[in-house]
Amino acid sequence: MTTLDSSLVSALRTSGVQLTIGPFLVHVRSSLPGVRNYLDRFYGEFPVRDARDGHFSVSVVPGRGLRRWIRPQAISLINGARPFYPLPGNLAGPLFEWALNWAIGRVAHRWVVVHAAVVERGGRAMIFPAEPGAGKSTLSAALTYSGWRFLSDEFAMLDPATGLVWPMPRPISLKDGAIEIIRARHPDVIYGPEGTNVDDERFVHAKPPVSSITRVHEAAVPAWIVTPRYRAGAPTSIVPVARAHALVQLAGQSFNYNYLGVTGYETLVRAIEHAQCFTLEYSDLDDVIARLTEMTDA
Amino acid sequence: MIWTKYPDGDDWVVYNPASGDVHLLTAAARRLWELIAAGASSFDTLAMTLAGDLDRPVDEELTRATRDALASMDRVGLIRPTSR
Repeated sequence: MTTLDSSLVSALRTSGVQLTIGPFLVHVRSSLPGVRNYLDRFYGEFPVRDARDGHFSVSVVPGRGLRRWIRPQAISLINGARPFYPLPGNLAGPLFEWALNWAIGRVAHRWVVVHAAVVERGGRAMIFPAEPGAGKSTLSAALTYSGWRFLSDEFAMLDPATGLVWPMPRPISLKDGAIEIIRARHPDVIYGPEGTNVDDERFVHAKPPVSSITRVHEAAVPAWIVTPRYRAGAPTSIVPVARAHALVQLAGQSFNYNYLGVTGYETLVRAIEHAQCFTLEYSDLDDVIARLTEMTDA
Repeated sequence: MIWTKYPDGDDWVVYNPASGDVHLLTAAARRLWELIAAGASSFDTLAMTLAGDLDRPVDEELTRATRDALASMDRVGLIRPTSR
């Protein structure tokens, strides 16, 4: 079953459905049409079935009382907890995405999870660890829609057992000026509606190519660790960085390496060991795509 | 402590399992930590040994660098002073 047929729509509203997103089984429950439409638009290629359990349980429910009718709200429940304030009802679909981010960042301790975008060429992954706002989603979107495989714009999931990075090809979150830039370059991509998040940033979700989604079980070898920074008008600059410095940067962006103790640290050490490490400053997407492609072909 | 050094540079990364923190250290700071772990406890001994390793005199610059490195390691919990 790959789409929400009428019986699954009914289950989504009541007992919930189980969505398989890469290695995760996500139990989703919501009566809000915004969530159903969001899942149809962005998760149509992911397996979904009628089941009441999963690694994470994410419910997006309507506000109570008057908030059902006046300025309606959406409330997220993650494994029974309520980590976010209620949001406007029109953000119900994106709220599911943010709730899932929250769950993965705090609960997925089978992997070392790093705040990073990840793309791949020829089986080798390029990891972009960076703070929010550095331009990693924009860069990963531009590379993805230019033929690279998309693994994630939010999490590099490093497997301590193999050292490989696992895909999580969920919708790409574009913000503010990146929305118009990527839309203009790739008008045929499926986009969600534009909204404003709690940080007062405009956002749009963009669907990764089906070719990336269908390869959700193909892990990749970390080959490049590139710390990106978008700076308006800056020429493309790719500067090698000593691995020790890249390791500290990677650890600084990891949600849980210290939760996993020595295993977590050694997983990061291993990821860096055979990778080439750089800092990247960019503004011209055509130029940076050409430079990174040339680098990976070398 | 778990120490990591890659062949493309002189700096070290140390992971402190007690705190869960990761720190970047120079080769000289790492040497000071080794000396302390081996039992050296006086500032003069540390500075003189480091100067010998680097084949340079114990001058003002080396004294200051030694003091700064020790203070940094103390601040992040990699060493503990035995007396002030």
